[in-house]
Order: sequence, then C-alpha cells, then structure tokens
Amino acid sequence: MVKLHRFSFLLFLFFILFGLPQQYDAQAQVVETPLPLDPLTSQERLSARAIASANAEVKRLLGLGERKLIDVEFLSVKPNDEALMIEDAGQPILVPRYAVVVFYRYDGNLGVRATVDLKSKKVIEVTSMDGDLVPISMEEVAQASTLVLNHKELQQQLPPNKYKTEVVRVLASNQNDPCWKRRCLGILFRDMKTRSYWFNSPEVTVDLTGKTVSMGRKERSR
Amino acid sequence: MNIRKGLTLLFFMTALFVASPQTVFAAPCSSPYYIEQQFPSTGAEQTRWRLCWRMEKKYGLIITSADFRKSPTSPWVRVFWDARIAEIFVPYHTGTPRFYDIMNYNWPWVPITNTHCPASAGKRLGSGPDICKEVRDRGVSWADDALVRRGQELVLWGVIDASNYNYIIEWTFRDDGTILGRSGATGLIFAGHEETGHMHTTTWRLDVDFNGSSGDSVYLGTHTEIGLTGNDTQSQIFNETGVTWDPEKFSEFNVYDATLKNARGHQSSYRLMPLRWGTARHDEAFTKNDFWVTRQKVGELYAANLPSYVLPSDPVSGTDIVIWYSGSAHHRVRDEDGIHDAAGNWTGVTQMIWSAFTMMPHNLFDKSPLFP
Repeated sequence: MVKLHRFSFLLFLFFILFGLPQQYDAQAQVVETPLPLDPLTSQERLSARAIASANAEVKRLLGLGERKLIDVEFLSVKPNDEALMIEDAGQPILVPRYAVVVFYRYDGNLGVRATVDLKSKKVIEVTSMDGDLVPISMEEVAQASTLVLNHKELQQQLPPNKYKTEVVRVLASNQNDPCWKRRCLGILFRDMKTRSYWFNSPEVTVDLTGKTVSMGRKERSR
Repeated sequence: MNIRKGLTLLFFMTALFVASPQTVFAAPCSSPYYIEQQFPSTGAEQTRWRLCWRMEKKYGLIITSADFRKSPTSPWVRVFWDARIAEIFVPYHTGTPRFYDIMNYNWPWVPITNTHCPASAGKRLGSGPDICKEVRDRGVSWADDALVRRGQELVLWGVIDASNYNYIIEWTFRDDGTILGRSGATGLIFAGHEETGHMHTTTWRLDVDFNGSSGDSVYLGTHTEIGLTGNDTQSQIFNETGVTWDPEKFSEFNVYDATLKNARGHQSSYRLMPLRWGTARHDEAFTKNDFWVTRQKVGELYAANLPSYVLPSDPVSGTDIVIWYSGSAHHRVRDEDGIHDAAGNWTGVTQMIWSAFTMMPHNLFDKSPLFP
C-alpha cells in the first residue's frame, strides 16, 4: 500500500509538471515564440527588414539613392472558417505571419511595399506607390528636428534647450509649391517647461528630400 | 476507506483530470494580448468575452478577434476578426490645414502611466505599447420597479501621440453582448489656429466575422413614420457601397450570418448604430457617406480610399464583409480650450471630445439577458 501511495504521488507530480492542457501553455508563451495573432516580435521585425532589403525587386525600385525604412507592420491574413474551427478543438489556428515592410525613396518620391512571409522567409509581393501615400516615420521626425536645431538662423532665435519640436505633414497641392513631390514637414516649437507653443515662432518647413530648412512658409498642410 | 486510500484516490483523480485530453480553446494570442472576461466579474458566470488586442503605431489599439458567449453552456460566437481605426480626419474650417492623422503618419503610442490607469480603476497591460484594462460598473442595465440589475463592461483603451493631440482609442465589451467603439481627442489646439473650429472625424473599420467569416450579409435598417403608424424595415445591400445616415430614419447597418439563429428560431444579427452629434460633409469623397460596406480584402485599411475600394462594386451578400462607420467630433473652439498668456503663448488643454458608435446584438439571446 505504501508503494502504491508513493507511485500515485509520483504520477501525480508527473502529470502536474508535464500534462497541463494547452490553454495554460498558450498563456505562458514568451514573446519570441509568438502565437498567430501576437504582435510582431523585435526579432521578426529585424528579419522582415533584412529579407525585404535583400530582395532584388525591392532593390531595383529603391535604386541607389537615399532611401529610408518607414515601417514594419504585422499583416494577419485571415484563414477560412474551417481552419478557424480548430481553435475550439484545442489546436492553434493556422494564421500565416506576414510583415509588410514599407520603404521610401526620396529621389522620385516613391514608396515601396514588400510583403514578407516570416515562416518561409521570402518576399511574396512587392508593389510601388506614390510617395505622398507613404506615412512619415518617427526617424524622419527626429531627422527634421535635428536639421532645425542645427539651423544657424533658428539657433539665434531659439533659446537653447527650451523648446522641443513637433511636426505636421506638408503635402503640396500644386506644382508651384516648393514641397511638390518632396518629403516636407512643418515644424512646431513647444516650450518644454510650460508645454505651450512658441507663439511668435517663424513658420518653419523642413524639406527632407533636399535636407533644407526654410522659414516663412505660410501653409503647413494641404 | 482509510486516509491513505482516500489520498491515493484523490491523487489519481486529480492527475487524470489534469492530464486528460480536453478540447480546450487554443488562444490565438498570448498573454497579455489575450483577455477573457466573464460577467458578472465575480461569482457564477452568465456571459463571457474572449479577445485579442494589439497596440500598433499609427492605428492605436486594434482588437484582433472578439468572441462572445451568451451563457456558460452556449457556443462561442465570433463577432470581430479585426476592429480598428481607419482614419482620423481633421479639416479646419478655414479650408486648411486638413490632416489625415492615420494615413499620413506613424504616430507612436503614449506610455500609459499610473495616472492614466490607477490600480483603483484598472490594470495596465503590455510593456512598451501598453493599454489600460478596466472592468466598470455601467449603471442600471435594466429595472422593473424594485427588481434591478446593474451592468458591467470590459473597457480597453490606449493613446496615440498625434503631435499636439492625444487620441484615446477605446473599445468596450458589455455583459449583454453590446460593443462600443469610441475615439476621444484631447491635447493642445494646433498652434496658430487657436481660434479655428475643426472636425475630428473618426472612421472605424470593422471586419465583422459574425459566427465566422463566411456567410455574412448587411442590411440597411430604416424607420419611417406615416400618419400615426411607424414602420421598421430593412433592405439587403448586395454590392459594395457607401450609405448616408438619415437621423429621421434611424439608419443602421444590421449584420446577419447565414445560419445563426437563437433558440426561438429567429435569425441573429448585430446592429451597428451611430452615437453622434451631427454629420460632417467635406469636399473629400470618403466623407460623403457615414456607412460603407466592402468585401474583406487584404490591405484595404484606409478610409480615405473607400471610394476606390468600392470600384468595381463587388458582391457583399453571404460573404466575408467589412463595415465602416464615420462619426465626427465637432470642435468649436472655446475659452475652456486655453488662453494666451502675457507673453502670447498658448496655455491650456482641450477637454476630451468623443465620437462613437455602438453594436448591439439582436435576437442573439433567447430571452432578456442577465435576467433572473
């Protein structure tokens, strides 16, 4: 009886340690082994970027001039109902994990969009688009801020370390506009202490395509 | 039975329970992106939601799958595959500027602090991109004299840092199966436009998979009054199109599944109903309609492109559909928004203004929900 008791206790421990149902496993997943609808992991983002950047068609469209990575976004392609039904049977749904990698090419105001299958590590689609449809990246926002803060004329007007910059997109609506088909941002200056805007600031526009800062532009957006 | 025998039996039974092959739901997302919420939040379950969420740059809080169970013994019914903001369009009354705050930017999220989401109100979920999860008392859900029931709701919200504005993207899942989507705007008035009124028109993209992705159809619900009689009708929308909201007709979108019926044999649906204070019509074509229905296609994510998404106009009958809804918060500038100080600087903050919609189950329950 004592042996049976010990055996059952060990069996109990074994099941407790190794026999937990799948629902608990799912909860315990670490981020680096994502489930189908988890956000992209940092590793997946890096991988998607590398795979897209190495693709011949992406390279061809981006050319040799200046280009920038704009975003890596998760794309979940919906499985059919039959595939989804296995969720309730205790099996993970089979949702392919894709990433959409968007680049911007300054020369020619062009966007390039590559869809990467993260499992096969292949680019499955490459398309180009009008650069005006490519969103501004946070890296470009930071770049615009650097250009402004290093601008000599503005440095004379801006008390150092008092203002931070915020941006708005400038999309020109006609060919006579200096920002026509260029990557432009309007700059707002915000007092870091009072959080208010610098009311008397000049109208400042950064042209990221030409890396120039201009003052006195009237319209900050279309 | 002696104690040893009893313990042995208990061990065996526990071990068998834990290790037996169970047909448990395999969550499609991991913690903290997976949420299950039973109602009432304590005691025996009556209803339950399960869902996944994701906080993304640009879109803010996205709901990636949401299922509802009307009783512990009922099957789960999927409502959303993906629910997100598709645009926040901000045209100023002077004609310019006109901001597309989703399509043209990759705005980051605002980190949620204990001030946003104190422990007394809820719980922060996620790290880096994070959100606030609250389970709220929602007031009286029904009453019959002294017989009263207070309701509860699960509320998830995150914040987009859109330059001078913060946008709160909020999703609410109620104990009676009702869903609310809200978009709130707060922050500093755009510099140089402190006196200029403007709109914050939010368009939601709702990939509704009612009881699964296939077999969904959309009907336009309409109310009319003729003489002393009122009449409620609905007509099916067969092809991709936009529809205007008529306040006198209580226009609503009703989404039906081909097969889902309640125990009374009535066809179940979810009704998308506006919660609005007015209707913003601008020069931009996508603002000419308040509702749109499209066939679900990968990559169709921006509201501004809706007029092109419906050309050619594909069939949307008994298929995988997406419904879109636009609601506007009209910001008439007021002294409460702030003031110019002695140096001419603007100080102050715009109080939160909301635009919203609700989705209500119709003939999903067999009787009054949460009723004794």
